[in-house]
Amino acid sequence: MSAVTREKGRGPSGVRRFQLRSAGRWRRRTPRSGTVTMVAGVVFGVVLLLAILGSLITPYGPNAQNLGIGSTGPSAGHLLGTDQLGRDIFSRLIVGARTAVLGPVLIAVATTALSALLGMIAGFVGGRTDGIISRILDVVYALPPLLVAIVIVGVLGGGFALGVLVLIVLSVPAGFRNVRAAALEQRGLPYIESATMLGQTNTRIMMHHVLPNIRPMLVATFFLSFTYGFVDLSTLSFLGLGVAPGTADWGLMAADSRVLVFSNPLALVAPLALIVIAAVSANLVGQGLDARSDTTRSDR
Amino acid sequence: MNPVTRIDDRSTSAPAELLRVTGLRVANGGSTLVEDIDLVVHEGESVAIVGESGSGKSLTARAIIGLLPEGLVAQGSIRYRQEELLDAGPAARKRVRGSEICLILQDPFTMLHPLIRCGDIVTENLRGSSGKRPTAPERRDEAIRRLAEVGIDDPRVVDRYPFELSGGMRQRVAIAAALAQDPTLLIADEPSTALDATTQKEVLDLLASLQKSRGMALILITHDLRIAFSVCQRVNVFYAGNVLESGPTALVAAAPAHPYTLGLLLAEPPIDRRVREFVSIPGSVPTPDSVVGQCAFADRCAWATEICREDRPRLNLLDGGRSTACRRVDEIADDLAGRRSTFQQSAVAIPRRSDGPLLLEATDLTVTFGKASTATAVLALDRVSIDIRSGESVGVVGESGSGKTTLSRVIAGLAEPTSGSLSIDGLDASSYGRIGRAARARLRKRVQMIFQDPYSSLDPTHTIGYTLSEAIRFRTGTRVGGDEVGALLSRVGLPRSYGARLPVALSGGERQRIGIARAIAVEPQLLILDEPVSALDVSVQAQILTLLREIHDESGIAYLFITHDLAVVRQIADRIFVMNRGRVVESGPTDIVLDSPRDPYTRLLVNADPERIESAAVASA
Repeated sequence: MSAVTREKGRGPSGVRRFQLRSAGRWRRRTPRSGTVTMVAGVVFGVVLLLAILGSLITPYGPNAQNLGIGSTGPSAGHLLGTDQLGRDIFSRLIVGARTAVLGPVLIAVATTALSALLGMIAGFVGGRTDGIISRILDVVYALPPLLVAIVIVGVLGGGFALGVLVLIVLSVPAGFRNVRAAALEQRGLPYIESATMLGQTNTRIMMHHVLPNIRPMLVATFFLSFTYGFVDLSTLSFLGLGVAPGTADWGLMAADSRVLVFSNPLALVAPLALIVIAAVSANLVGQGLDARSDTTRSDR
Repeated sequence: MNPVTRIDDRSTSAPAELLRVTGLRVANGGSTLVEDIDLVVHEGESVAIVGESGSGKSLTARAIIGLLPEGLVAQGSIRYRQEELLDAGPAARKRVRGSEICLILQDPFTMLHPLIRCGDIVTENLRGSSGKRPTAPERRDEAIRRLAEVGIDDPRVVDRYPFELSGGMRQRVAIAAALAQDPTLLIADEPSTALDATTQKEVLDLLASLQKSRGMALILITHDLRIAFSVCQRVNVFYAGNVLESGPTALVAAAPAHPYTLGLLLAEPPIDRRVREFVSIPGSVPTPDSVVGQCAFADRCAWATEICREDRPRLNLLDGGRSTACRRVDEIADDLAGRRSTFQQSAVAIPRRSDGPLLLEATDLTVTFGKASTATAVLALDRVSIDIRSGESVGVVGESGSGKTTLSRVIAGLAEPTSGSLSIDGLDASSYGRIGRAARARLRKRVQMIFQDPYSSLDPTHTIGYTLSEAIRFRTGTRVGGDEVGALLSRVGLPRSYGARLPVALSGGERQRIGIARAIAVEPQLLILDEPVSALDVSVQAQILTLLREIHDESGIAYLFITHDLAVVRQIADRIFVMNRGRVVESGPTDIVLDSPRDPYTRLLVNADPERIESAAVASA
């Protein structure tokens, strides 16, 4: 026998099987996080839908008063009951979605845009430019957002627009820091250097090469500032520093319904629950998108 | 009596079998990472696992020691001293791991605990004969003794932290720590890859001598066939999760019995001469899943026929204890030998081009990082003067920290020199920042660069077509049509359809081709190549070198080739500068410098080449 062919005992019985204990755990984890993102996305989508449709789908007008019945508990006619002026709480909640979402969307859009602009300039150009922008924003970062907002809005006489503006300024530093770090990381990469070698200007490199590559960071910034803006604005409304009195707004409704806590507890609980649900779902969507973009990036 | 045991009786007489891996398969959910691995290690034997990226060599090692990454499942059989490891529980595996089988990892910079002193790292797992931990003074003496064993004679190292040591020293400490429990089998996963050439040789020599003096078995994992030949008694060639050839080093080195092994041997350019043409293996390394049911190498093999694609060939035993997975080995043996001897005889003279006009002139370039007068300042370049003539190919050789990359970045305008002058094609290039946009653009059109890492040199968010048209537009200043991109792609040997792809869909070699295409699209006069092939698989490396040589011959672009690899520089550069600690220590025509180095540092570099280790081993044998 000059050349022996190796025969291995491979049939079904010959193969030894071994499963690492950790394998199952690993496999279960991935779909679960996907499901969470999906559910959060649906919830958040419903909130957005309510904000868009508003009074089109409500059984009663949000400001239609029925002084005759006054404050009532839940009934077939009024799912969540009515407030002291006999306004339908269910309808007011649906309409309130618009003010609830509009402010935070403005905050998130403006914060993300400003963070992206300043963060890229500071991180990519670096040097003295970076120093000046960073130090100024560090000072802003040191201010407690809600407290400062309460003081400024309170002193200047309140108002929705002012509240949004103040919160934008105060939430830029957090987003800026993240974007700056991401842009800084990009600066040393060969494809950025190669764009430099191709004579491209800093502006072009930032718009065409840095910006697309830090997109995941911008998505995360958007949803984070949305959540913070949402909670802060609701707080301002609750304190009477936000929207005009009488507006259908979740924060304001919670404040007004405090007196109904024994007669119709749902009038207090429902707007608070909506604030929590909307904020948490927005946060989870942001986290999910962030995680997804991470895996596609590391999978090269 | 089954055939397997009979083979063992034939091939080894004295030493007992220590480890036997049979039909090892490692999978991650649906995708197979290791297809079917057989491996035998006897007591006191040194065995090499050679393979390119994705061959499954590291996963095999991790499966043996029981440290597979989360989510990977191993099947088959791994028997250590007749005991099945894959069936064993965590406790049994832990008993074997560390005390019987030890693993050394590739990167000496991250594998040592940064907050523990070296002496404690070495003696952390030390146990006396009674199973009790020795006292502190005993441990300290033992640490000094064990560090001396790995060539660290300075007892003060015991009290140092890893960050205070060089890469080579750290690798020695790691080896000493791995040997602390006197393992019977040491697995070293690319222990020298992250190190400089001169240090690399020291670490390999150390491993080889420890293996012999301790009578310990060694599995050396490497991508470099020459390293495997110089250190190990037997080699196993892995490819796409399969073993293609295995056998005693002397036999495999003398006459490879698999086309892939031959391909690997020939793909590695020689250091002692310039070859007429490179022998590359077409294509790139496949995933195990894409070559199921056929010879894994068939798609890239010049000798493949239908029988290679019928089903997966098993290892066949040949004479002298070697085996091959090639079905046609008997028919093509003469062909293989013939091709090798043709290659070994092929040599061309290095041209002397000194007539062209001066393209680049650098005088006394100095780069200091940090404030010049302070103690922390680092002198990266120390009065470096070089010159390049039009159409010339010039190499810069040095180890990490030699300043070769800083030099290339200064010339490319990506870093500013602290002092000194630099002119390119008559234009002042000593300060890109101060010369204004138009002048800067003029310079950039004359100098382009190819980067080392093909994975980060392309913007992952843009298609290949977008990336290339940006480069073309820089030259022409007008809108770019698909035809120009297509022409550029075919120039670097890629199909035109690649224009629509994203970098993710390309292999490392293909990405490097795009990097080359992007640079030559500008039609520069000088191309800086910063280690353009060192991140690529050996079989792909030769393809890229062929392309680079072709472009140089056709276009007459001058090359500034930065590398640590003397064999590669010999193939590409006509004239070289050898750098050490920020200075040029020797320069001249490549063949003269490499064949009769005058500077002691150049001599050290030349002697550290694995080819030299091999020839030394052959000479002493």
